[in-house]
Amino acid sequence: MPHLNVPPQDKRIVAAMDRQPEGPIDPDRLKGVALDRHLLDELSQRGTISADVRLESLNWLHPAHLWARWAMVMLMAFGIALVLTGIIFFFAFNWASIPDLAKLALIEAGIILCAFGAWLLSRENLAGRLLLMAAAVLTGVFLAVFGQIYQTGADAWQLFALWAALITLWTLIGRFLPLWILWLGLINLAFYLWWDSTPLLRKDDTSALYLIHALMIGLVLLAREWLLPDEDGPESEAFHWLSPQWTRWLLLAGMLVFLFPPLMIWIANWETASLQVVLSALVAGVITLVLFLAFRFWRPDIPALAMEFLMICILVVMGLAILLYDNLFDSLGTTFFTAISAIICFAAAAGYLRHLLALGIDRGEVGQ
Amino acid sequence: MIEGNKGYRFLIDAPQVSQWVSFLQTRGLVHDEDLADIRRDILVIKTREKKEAPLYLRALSAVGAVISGLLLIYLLYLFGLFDLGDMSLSINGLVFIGLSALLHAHGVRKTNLARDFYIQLALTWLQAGKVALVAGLAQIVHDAFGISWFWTVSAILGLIMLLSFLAFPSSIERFVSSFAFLVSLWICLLVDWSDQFELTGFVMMLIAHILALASFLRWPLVRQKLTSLYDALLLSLCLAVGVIQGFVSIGHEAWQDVSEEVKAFLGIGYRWSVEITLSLALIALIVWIAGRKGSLGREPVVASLLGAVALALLSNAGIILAIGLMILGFATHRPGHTLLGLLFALFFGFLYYYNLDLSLLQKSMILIVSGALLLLASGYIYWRGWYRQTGKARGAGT
Repeated sequence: MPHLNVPPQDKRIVAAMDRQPEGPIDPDRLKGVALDRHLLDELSQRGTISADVRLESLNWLHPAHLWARWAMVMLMAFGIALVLTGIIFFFAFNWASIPDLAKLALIEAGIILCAFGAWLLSRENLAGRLLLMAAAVLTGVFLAVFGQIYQTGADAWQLFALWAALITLWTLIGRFLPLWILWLGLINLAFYLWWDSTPLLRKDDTSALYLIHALMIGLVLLAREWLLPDEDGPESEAFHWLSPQWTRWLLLAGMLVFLFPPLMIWIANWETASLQVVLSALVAGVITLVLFLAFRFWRPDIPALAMEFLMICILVVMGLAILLYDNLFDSLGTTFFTAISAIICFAAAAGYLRHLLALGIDRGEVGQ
Repeated sequence: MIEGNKGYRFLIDAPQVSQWVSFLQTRGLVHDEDLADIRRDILVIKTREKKEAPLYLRALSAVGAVISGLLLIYLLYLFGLFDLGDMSLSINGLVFIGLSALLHAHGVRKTNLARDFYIQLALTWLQAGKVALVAGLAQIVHDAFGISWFWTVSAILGLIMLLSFLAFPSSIERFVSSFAFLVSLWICLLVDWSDQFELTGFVMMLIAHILALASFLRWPLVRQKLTSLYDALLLSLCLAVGVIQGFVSIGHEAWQDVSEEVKAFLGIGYRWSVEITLSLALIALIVWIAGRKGSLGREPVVASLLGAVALALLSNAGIILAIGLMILGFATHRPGHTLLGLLFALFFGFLYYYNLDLSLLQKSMILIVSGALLLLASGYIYWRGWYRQTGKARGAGT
């Protein structure tokens, strides 16, 4: 097939490929390459595929039935959201005049209907999972209304802890990522509120608080990695729903957000820091090191390492600036050496990651 | 359905080239000898696209460059080389940018850590140079010609955008430069434009954005070469419509505090001109997606066009843009755009109902009825069976 419109830059790439000793192109090299309209149009413009093939491929790429399915799901999702909002507005309008028992009964009926609907539908079905999610959210609404009606006097953390406890079983069987995120958020919120409402723990223990948050999220991250040991093994199929890479990145980002403060608190007060602050920083440092080793060797993942390096670089630059300004230099010297250190740190991190990319350490990773 | 792509994930996933090749083979659309050419050309295209480092790596370098760039500016200030009142700042800025280009050109020829060090150094000088150039040139142009600060800064940002496309092969750099320039233009139009031309200027700018985006969709090679500008245009459009529509919606409560000029701008003129423009763009998008021989007269396409018209009549600019973004994201396999559209839809949908001048009871009825209408539409698609896969559809060859 003649190539009508090949840019000169591409001719050089073709020439380089032709010089490679491997011979004809191995189809495996196209593994993981996604096709989109953009690529089809370019192939057509280059004359690689004919106009008829492009048209047939476009019909295949975006067949009418897929558009219809997309529209159907969107209309259903927005429709359900609007109807539910309308029902909530209706109760809000009449809230004061509804008897307490009826309020609770209505919410309970909603929970039971949603849970029953989720049970009737398949676990693989999106509608079933959404119903389970709705039941989980309504559980929290029920607890809030119950507390409001009976003035139980319970602390806020108890509400969130009980909510998390009540939906734990659904979360386990639901295999639905948004439900897991809700559950983990509730656990962390409950813990934070408990810590905040306990007088003995409120003063100088913020480093430990952040550290415990990081450990809690870390346990979930560890569980995720543990359950996805081998992409070819039976566990991989059973926990396939956990395989999207963003689940790992989200958990890691959560961990790093909580690992940063203990380290920063220690760096900012390194001369006067209490033993508890030093210990928290030490543990946070060890966890950071473990995370690096895990995503370098156990579960190679370069974007995860990039997130970690971002935190480390910022810590190093800030730490150096504080150290220099407190002990060695004035503004000029501190700014100069901090700027140099920032350039070196980020360049070294980028260079190391580029080296790992060249090695191809994360090829074939589960979930990619 | 694509293999291994069951359930809701079909909403975002693009199919694989290997699946497409199987489809072509099974349907007998290409000869075996042509397949080698197809595979090679795809590899060539992907090799060219992959010349840049991955996004996370560029983002890491960019964060570092911003930090070190700020420190460098402060250092230059301490040395007396960064005086905002001094017109020679623009010369310094050009020198810094030139130095940055030299360092970059030198760095890309290096290997290992030296390469990254040079590139990071180049990025740092580039940030400091851009700030110095904008500040210095703005000072000169403002003093010499008496042009307003807004237009001066905008013109200089345009120059920097041009420079980034001509001289700096970094998509993040190009995206940031383009976005900054486009935002500065919106600010000029809304803040520094005579009142009677404000709306005209806004709509013309809106049309220019839409035409530019349409041309990107029409010519894939241009889109590929200027992806950063495509993304910047899309985000700029969202920002402008989002801010104005948000102001219209949120400002509803504090309407009495708004000046007469702003009221005129955000009133019926805005509603008709901006909403009609966006609605026409939405209709054009649907026509583009369905634009194959004989497709336009088909019932699903007619139904979607009718839906777009209904949306134009009943909703507001924010919701129309949101639906357009979601469709565009699905059509071009850019989940980020779909997600942005979804967030817009939620935000402006909320504001739309919140601002209805009705009681809670009436609002609840309207919400339930409009939700039921959407569910009916969904049910109609189900009833007509449009969602069912036919023999020709994707997956037939897998």
